Amino acid sequence: MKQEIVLKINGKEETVLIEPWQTLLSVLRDNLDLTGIKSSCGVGECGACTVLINGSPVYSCLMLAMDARGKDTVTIEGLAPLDSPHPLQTAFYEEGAIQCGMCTPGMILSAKALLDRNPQPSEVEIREAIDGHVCRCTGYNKIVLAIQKTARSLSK
Amino acid sequence: MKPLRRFTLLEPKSLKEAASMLNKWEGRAVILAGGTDTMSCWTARTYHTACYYKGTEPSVLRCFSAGHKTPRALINIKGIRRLSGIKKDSKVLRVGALTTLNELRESSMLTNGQTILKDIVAKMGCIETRNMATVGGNLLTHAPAAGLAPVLLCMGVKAVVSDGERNHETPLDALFNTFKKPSAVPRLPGCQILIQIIIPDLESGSGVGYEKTTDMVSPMSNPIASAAAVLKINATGKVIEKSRIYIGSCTLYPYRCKRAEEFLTGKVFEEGLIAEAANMDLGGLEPISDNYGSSEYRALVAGSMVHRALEQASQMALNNLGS
Repeated sequence: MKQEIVLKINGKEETVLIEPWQTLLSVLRDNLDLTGIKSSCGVGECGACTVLINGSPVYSCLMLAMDARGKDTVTIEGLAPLDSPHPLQTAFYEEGAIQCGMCTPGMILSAKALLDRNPQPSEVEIREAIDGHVCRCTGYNKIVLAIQKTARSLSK
Repeated sequence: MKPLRRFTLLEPKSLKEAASMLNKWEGRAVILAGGTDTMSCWTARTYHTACYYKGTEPSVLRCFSAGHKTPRALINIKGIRRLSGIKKDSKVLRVGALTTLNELRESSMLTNGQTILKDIVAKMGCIETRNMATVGGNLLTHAPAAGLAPVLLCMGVKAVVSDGERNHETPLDALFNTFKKPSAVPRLPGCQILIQIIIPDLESGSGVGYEKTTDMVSPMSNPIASAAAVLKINATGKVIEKSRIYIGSCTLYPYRCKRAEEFLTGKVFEEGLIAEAANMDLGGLEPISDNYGSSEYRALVAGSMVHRALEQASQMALNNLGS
């Protein structure tokens, strides 16, 4: 039986009618049309569905939407306005850290969570932060460079 | 997107309510903690690492996908607040079953030998899964990859379980013994729920070691082998007073190396003793075969892991002599 719940998504309260077995990923994409979040493996292996819950990155494919009640959920759409990208988004673009774009939203959100907690991470810490994301195109080095560049720019 | 498998979602607000739900659903309900194992199996419909347990029934997760007594309900216990958090109580650490792995890793309450848990957790999954996965879930999903189990067993951890009315403490190894035979649904007998684990501090002159083969990212992944060891060495004659060794990731539950423990206990510590002990129990070990390693290969690797864990434990114990 469908239930009506209220979720706080990207700073805005959204009322959605969902089945109890729906994952957060499914509700974000299918009910709220937030397609920046990607659906890929569906079993917590690839990181494409990463969102921030209360500032921490989690896999939305493994989380029931019901469990997001009362929590702040941030998707890539909520990171910054379209006309004023977040420094991470700019750095990913400038460093060529985006190719097919499948992993990019999750990578950027995990990088944001890292920089919020640790504004000057080491390369090892950056690689640990993106450990849960599979990228088929870039070979990861450009992504690491983009995060390092953002850390430098934010420290100025 | 893969079609979602339907289930009844139950959301108890108290342990009593949760125990009553377990009782009512008679084995057709699964407790949902962090969800990294349960949700992935539910979504995938198959346990695609294709674990095969020699000499036992198929794994719980294969039963799950094969349709034997397929669970129909998830009991989401995250609404029971008292199951989360870490408290220091005298010299022991009380860790709630719903404490996430990252909360354990980042806790400042872990002291001395307990801090090895931070290193172990850091090698489990990735940040995203560690933000979700719970200590209780890691111990009770019946997965061979339950990374915390071998070292917690070595450290003599106790579990606090509740039937909804009363709580009682039981050694963790006794808890594992209660479900030696795999069931279709991961659960403790008698509709009990794990609510807390109690981690003691290491005794003086003791050392703990842990080693595993891989830093697999996915919660569905399984290291080839892991091992944990605790050694207590006497300060005056360097006699090994106590040893506890478990192999993980090879069998459904951590495998205790009793022969090696008996061999080491009472002997004066010397180089070469560890190498002799490391492979003593491999004859009785019947490891799984899966995508990551054959049974025979896992047994070989397990010996190396035991060797390294014992080396770490002895080094720490020697450094702690007299402390």
